[in-house]
Amino acid sequence: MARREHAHPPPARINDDLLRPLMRTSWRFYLLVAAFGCVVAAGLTFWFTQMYLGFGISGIRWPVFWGFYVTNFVFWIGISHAGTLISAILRLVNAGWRRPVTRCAEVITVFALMIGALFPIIHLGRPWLAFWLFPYPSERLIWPNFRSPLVWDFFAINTYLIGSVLFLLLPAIPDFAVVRDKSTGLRRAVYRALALGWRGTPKQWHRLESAMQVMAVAILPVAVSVHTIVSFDFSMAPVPMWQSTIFGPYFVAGAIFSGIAALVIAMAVLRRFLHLEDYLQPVHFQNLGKLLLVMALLWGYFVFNERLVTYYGN
Amino acid sequence: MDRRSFIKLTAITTSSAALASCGNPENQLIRFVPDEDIVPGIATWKPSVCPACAAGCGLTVRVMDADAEVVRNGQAGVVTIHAAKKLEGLPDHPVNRGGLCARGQSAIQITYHPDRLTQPLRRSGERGDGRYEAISWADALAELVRQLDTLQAAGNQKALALLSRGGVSHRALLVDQFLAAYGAPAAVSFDLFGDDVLRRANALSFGRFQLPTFDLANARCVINFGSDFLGTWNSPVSQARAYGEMRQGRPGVRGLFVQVESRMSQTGANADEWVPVPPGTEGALALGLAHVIVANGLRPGDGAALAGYMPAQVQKITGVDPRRIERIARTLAEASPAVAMIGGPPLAHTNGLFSALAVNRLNAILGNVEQPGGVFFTAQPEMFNAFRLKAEATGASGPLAALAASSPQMLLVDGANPVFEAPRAWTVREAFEKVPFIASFGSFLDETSALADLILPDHSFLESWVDAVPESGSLVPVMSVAPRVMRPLYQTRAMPDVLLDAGRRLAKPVTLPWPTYEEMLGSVFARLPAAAEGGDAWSEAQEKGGWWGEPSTPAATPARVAVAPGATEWVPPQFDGDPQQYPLYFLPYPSSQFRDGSLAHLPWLQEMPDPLTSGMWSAWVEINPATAGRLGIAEGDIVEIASSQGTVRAPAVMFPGIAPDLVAMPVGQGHRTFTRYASGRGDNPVSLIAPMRESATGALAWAATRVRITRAGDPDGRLILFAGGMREHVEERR
Amino acid sequence: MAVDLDRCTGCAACVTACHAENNISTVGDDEASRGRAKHWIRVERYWEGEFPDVRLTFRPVMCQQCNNAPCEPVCPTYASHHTADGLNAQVYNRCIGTRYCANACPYNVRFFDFFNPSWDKPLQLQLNPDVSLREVGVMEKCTFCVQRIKSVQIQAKAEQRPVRDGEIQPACAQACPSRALVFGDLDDPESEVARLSRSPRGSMLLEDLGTRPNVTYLTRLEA
Ligand SMILES: Nc1nc2c(c(=O)[nH]1)N[C@H]1C(S)=C(S)[C@@H](COP(=O)(O)OP(=O)(O)OC[C@H]3O[C@@H](n4cnc5c(=O)[nH]c(N)nc54)[C@H](O)[C@@H]3O)O[C@H]1N2
Ligand code: SF4
Ligand code: SF4
Ligand code: SF4
Ligand code: SF4
Ligand code: SF4
Repeated sequence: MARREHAHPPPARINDDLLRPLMRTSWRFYLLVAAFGCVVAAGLTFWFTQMYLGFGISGIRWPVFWGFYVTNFVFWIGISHAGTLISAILRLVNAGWRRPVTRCAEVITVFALMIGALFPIIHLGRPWLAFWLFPYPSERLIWPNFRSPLVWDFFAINTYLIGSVLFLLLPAIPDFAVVRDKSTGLRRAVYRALALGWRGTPKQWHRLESAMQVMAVAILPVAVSVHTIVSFDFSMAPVPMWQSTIFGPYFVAGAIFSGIAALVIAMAVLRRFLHLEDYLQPVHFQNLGKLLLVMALLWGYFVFNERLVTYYGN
Repeated sequence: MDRRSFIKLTAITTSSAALASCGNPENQLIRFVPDEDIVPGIATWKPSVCPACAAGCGLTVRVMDADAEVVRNGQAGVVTIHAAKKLEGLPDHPVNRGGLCARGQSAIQITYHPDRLTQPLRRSGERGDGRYEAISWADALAELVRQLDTLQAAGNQKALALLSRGGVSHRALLVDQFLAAYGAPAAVSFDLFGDDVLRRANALSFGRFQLPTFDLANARCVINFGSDFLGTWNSPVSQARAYGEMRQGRPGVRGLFVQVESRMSQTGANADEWVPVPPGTEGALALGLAHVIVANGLRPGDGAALAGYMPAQVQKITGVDPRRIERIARTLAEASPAVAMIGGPPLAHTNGLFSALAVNRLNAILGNVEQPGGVFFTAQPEMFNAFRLKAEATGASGPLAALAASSPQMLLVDGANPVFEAPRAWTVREAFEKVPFIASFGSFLDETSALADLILPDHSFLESWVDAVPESGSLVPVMSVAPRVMRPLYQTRAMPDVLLDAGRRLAKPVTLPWPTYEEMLGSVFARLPAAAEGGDAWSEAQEKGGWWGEPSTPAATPARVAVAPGATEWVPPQFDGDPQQYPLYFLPYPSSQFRDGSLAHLPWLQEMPDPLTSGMWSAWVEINPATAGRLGIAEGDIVEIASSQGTVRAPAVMFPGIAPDLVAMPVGQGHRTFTRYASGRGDNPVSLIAPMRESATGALAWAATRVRITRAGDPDGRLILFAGGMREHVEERR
Repeated sequence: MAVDLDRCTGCAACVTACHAENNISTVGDDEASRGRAKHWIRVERYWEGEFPDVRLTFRPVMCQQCNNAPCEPVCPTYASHHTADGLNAQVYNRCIGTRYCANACPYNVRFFDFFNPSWDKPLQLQLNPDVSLREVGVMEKCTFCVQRIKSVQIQAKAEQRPVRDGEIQPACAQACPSRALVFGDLDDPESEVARLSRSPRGSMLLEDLGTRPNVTYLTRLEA
C-alpha cells in the first residue's frame, strides 16, 4: 500500500473538493435531512406527549429519578469534548497532522453541546418553567439558587458553548472568505458577512493566529470544568456509588474517550460520503487511534478505581 | 374548590351558557343557593362515631365549606355545602382518647366513595348480574311494605330474616324491637372473626358474656395468646394507647410483653419475647405457666387441676422448652401486676373454648381480675344485658348457617356481606339465591347486596344519627352517640327510620314507642345522669359525642366477678383435611387494612402498605422461606393453595415470622363485586375455610383447615410491595 | 419531632392520617407497582433472624427536616428551602421537577408527582383546603404539617401569648394510638420533645452523613 501521508493535492483542487458539497446539493442530502427531521419530529412528539399525559409515561421511578435523560445528557456533553478539547490540545502541542481533523471535531462539539443542553430541559417535570433555571432579573427578583450544580451546569454549558462557537468560527473566517470569493448571489452576501472582511493580509493572519492561541488556552479549562461540573450533578448528592471524589476526572476522561470515538466515526462517514480520502488519511485515523487507546486505558483505570473505593469501604 | 376545578367549572358554565339556547337544560351546571349558613374558610369540629369496627371509637370531624355537584329537581348543579374534611380521634372519648386507627381515618371515604349507591334501586336484570333501575323512595317503600304485608297476611312473619353487621348499639336494639313487634326472629349477625368463644368463656369464668378490657397501662408484664390487639383485634386503638403507656408511660418502669402465636402478627412484632407454638396449643401453654406458678407457691391456686401440665408435658404439646416455660412463668408471677390475653386465631380452633378458659384461669391465678393492671369488664348499661343474653342464647355464629338452611321467604340485609365472608360449605349464596325477596340497605353493591331485588340505600355514618355501645376498651361505661355531621349527599334514608316508616304503613301497623331513631336515642339518653348541675344528659351527649360515666354510675351493672373452675383436661385441636394430602395448617387472618374485607373498597386502605409485608392493592400468601425453598417457590411466584373446600391462587410472600408448617393469608381481598377499587383483586381466602366448629360452642373454627400448596406460575405482577419491594433493601444495605 | 420506637406498634395509622391531612392522592395499583406511591410517612420494617428466633422492628420515617439538608442546595429554584422556623419547606409552585432533591435526600422521603393527582368524584370533597394541591411534575414531601403549625402560631399571636408545648399536633402524631410521635419546639429546652431528644435512647437516622436531622428516634428496648 502506497503511503501518501502529507501528500496534499494541489490547492486549486483542494478548494474544488472541499467546496463541492457546498455548491452542489444532491438528493441524498435532502433524504438525510428528511430522515433526521423525522427523528426530531418523533422526539418532539414524544416530548409533548410526555408533557400532556404526565411525566409518568417515562420509565422513571424511584430510585432511578433521572435515567435515560441524564445518560443522554452526559453522553452528548461527553461527545462535545471531541472537538474543542482535542483540537485545542493538538493546536497547543503543534501537532501538524491535526489540521484536517480539527474542523470536524469542532463542529461535533458545537452540535453535541446543543443536543446535550436540551436534555436537562426535556427531563423537567414542568419544562414550561425551565426559564426559572436561568439567571434573569425577574420582577420579583428571585434568582436561581447559585449553590445548585444545575445552575452551575447552566453557566458551564453556556460558557463552553460560546467558547466552542468562537473556536469553530474564528479559524473558519479565511474559509468563509474563500466561499465568498467563489460564490454569487445570496450565498455570497451571507458569506461576506461571515468572513468579516477577511482579505488574507499577513496582519490579519497574525491576529487570527494569536486569537486562536488565546482561545485554545482558554477553552481547555472550560472544557475540563464542564464535565467536572456535570459530574458534580452526581457527586454532590449523598447517593451511594455517586458520592465519590474521582467523579471529576473520571467523567472528563470518559468524555474525551467517547469524544474521540465519535470523531473517528464522523470522520470515517465524511471521508466515505464526501470523497475526502485525500484529506482524511489513514495517518489521522492512526493517530486518533493512539489517543483513543490512551484514553481507554485511563478510563479503564478509573472504572477499576471506582470499584476499589467500594471495596475498601465494604 | 381548587383552582383547577374552578377553571373547569367556569369553562363548563360558560360553554353551557353559550349552548343554552340550543342544548337541553340538564347540561347546565348552575349554582344553587346553599341551604345552610356557611362561613367560608372557617372549620368547625363535630363529634361522630367510627363505623369501621365494633370498637366504637369517638370521632371529631372537621367540617368546612366545599362545592358539591348535586342534582336538584332533575337539574345538575353546584352547591356549597358543609362537608366533612377529616376524621380525628375524639380527645376525651374514653375508648380512643384522640387516637384513631388507619381504618377509622379512611372511613370518610365511605361517604365520598364514587361508587356509593345514591338512590333506591330495583333489580331489572337477572339476580346477581348487577343491573338495576332507579326508582323513587315512594315506590321503593311501597314495594317493601307490599312484601312485608304479603308475609303478614300469610301469617308467615317468622319467614322474615334480617342480617345485620353486628356490634352493639341502640340502632341494633331498635331493629331487634321492630323485628320482635313484627313477629320475626331476631336479627342474625355474622362476623367471620367474631369472638363469641371468648364471650362464652368469660361468661363461664367471670359471669360476663362480654369481651374483656385490659388495664395494660398499669401492667408490668403482659402475655398475649394470639390476638392482634395492637392491630385489628377487639378495641385496637384503646389497647395500643394503653400499650404505649405500659412501655414508656411510667418513669423507670417498662412493662414486659410476651406473645404466643404461630404466625408473627403486627402485635407479635412488638413483643420482647416471641414464643411460637403449634396452632391450637396455646391453652396448654397457659396452663403450663399456671402450673409453674401454683406448684412453686408463687400464687395460690388449684394445683390438682393443673397436675397434667408440668413443663415437660407441655413441651410435648407445644414444643416450648420447659426452662423457657419456667422462666416466663416466674416473670409473670414476679412482675405484678401481670395479665394474660387471648383472642383471634387460638379461639378459632376446635378447642377454642378450652384455650380461652385456660387463659382465664391463668388470670385468676395471677389475681388480676378487676385489679389495676388486670382484666376488667366495661360496665354495660342495663338494657344491653338483655340484648347480650339474646346473643348468648342463640349461641355463637351458628345462626347464619341455620339461616341459610331455614329458607326464609324474605331477607333484609343491613350492611352484612356473608356471601363474601362465610365458608363456602355453608352455601350462603345458594341459599340466598332461593329467597323470593331480598332487600338491602347497603351503600355499595357488594356480593350480598348484588343479590337484592330492592336496594334502599342507608345514609353514610356522617349523614345520620350514629351510636355505639362499646363492650370493651374503656374502664368506665360509655355510650357513643352523635347527630349527623353533614346533610346527606344523595337520595338516601336512614335505615332505622325506613323500618319504622314501613312499620307504620303496614296493613296491620307495627309501631314502636318512638317514631324515629333520633327520638329513641333521645329518650334513652335523657334518662342518664347529667354531668353538669341542672344539665341534661341528652344535650351533653350530642355535644361531646357520647355519654360516659364513672364505674359507679347507676346505669351500669355493678361487677359480679366470680371465677368458675372450668375443665382443664387437654383437648387437642382437630383440623379439616388429611395431613398426608394437606400437609400445612392454614391461617386466614383479619387484614390490617380491611379487617374482614368490609373496608376493601377504600382507596387509602388499599394504598396503605401492610405493616408486615408492605403489600398494597394485592392479596398474597405468607410462607416460611424454608418451606418455600423446599417447594421451589420464590417471592412473587403464583402459588395454588388447596383445601378440601377448593383452591385459590395468590402470589407468595416470604415471611420469616411464620412456622414452616403453616401458611397464612390476609382476608379482605378477592371481592367479586365491591366497587372499582376492590373488585377482582386476587382470590378470596375464605373459600378455603372448612366448616369446622369449636367443639363446645359451635362457633366457626376458621383456623382449623389444612391445605396443600404448589407452585403454579411465575410472578404475574399482581403482588405489589412498597416501592416495588426495593426501598427497604436499599436502606438496610446502608 | 421525637419518635419513640418503644411505643410504636407499626399500625400505620400515621400513614393514612398524613394522606387525609395533606391531600396526598392515591396512585392506584399500576403506579404503586412501579414504586410511585406517595407516602410522606412510611413504616419501615426490619426483619432479623430466622424462625423461630425472629425479630421485627418498625420504624416510621418521614422527612427528617434536616438542619443541613442535602435536598436544599441542589434545588436550582429554591423550591426546597429552609424556613426561619428550621423547617425544610417545599414550595410546590416554584418546583420545576428536576428531581435532583429526591436523588440528594438520603432518607428517600421525597415523592414526585408523575401524573396530575386526581380524585374520583366526589372524593375531592375530602380535600383539606389548607393544603395546596400539587400538579404533575413537582416534588412533594412531609412538611411537618406546616399548615397546622401556622394556624396555631397565628392563633397564639392573636391571643398575644407564646405557643404552648403540645399545642401543635401534626396529623400523624394526632392519630397515633400509642403516642409514639411527639412534636414540639426543640429550641425550648422545657418542651416534651426536647426532653425526649435528650434521652439516652435517642439517635438520629444516618447521623454520620452530617444532615443534622430534626427528628430523634428513641430506640426500642430489649427485655
Ligand atoms: N356585582 C359586583 N361585582 C363586583 C363589584 C361590584 O360593584 N358589583 N365590584 C368589583 C370591585 S371594584 C372589587 S374591589 C371587587 C371586590 O371583591 P373581593 O375582593 O372578593 O372583595 P370582598 O368580597 O369585599 O372581600 C373578600 C374576602 O376577604 C375577606 N377578608 C377581609 N379581611 C381580610 C384580611 O385581612 N385577610 C384576608 N385574608 N381576608 C380578608 C372577607 O371576609 C371576604 O371573604 O369586586 C368586584 N366585583
Ligand atoms: S378501632 Fe379503628 S376502626 Fe375500630 S372504631 Fe376505633 S378507629 Fe374505628
Ligand atoms: S401511628 Fe404511631 S404506632 Fe402506628 S405506626 Fe405510626 S408511629 Fe407507629
Ligand atoms: S429528610 Fe430529605 S427531604 Fe427532608 S430535609 Fe432531609 S434531605 Fe431534605
Ligand atoms: S424537583 Fe423541584 S424541589 Fe426538587 S430540586 Fe428540582 S426544582 Fe427543586
Ligand atoms: S408531620 Fe404532617 S406531613 Fe409530616 S408525616 Fe406527619 S402528617 Fe405527614
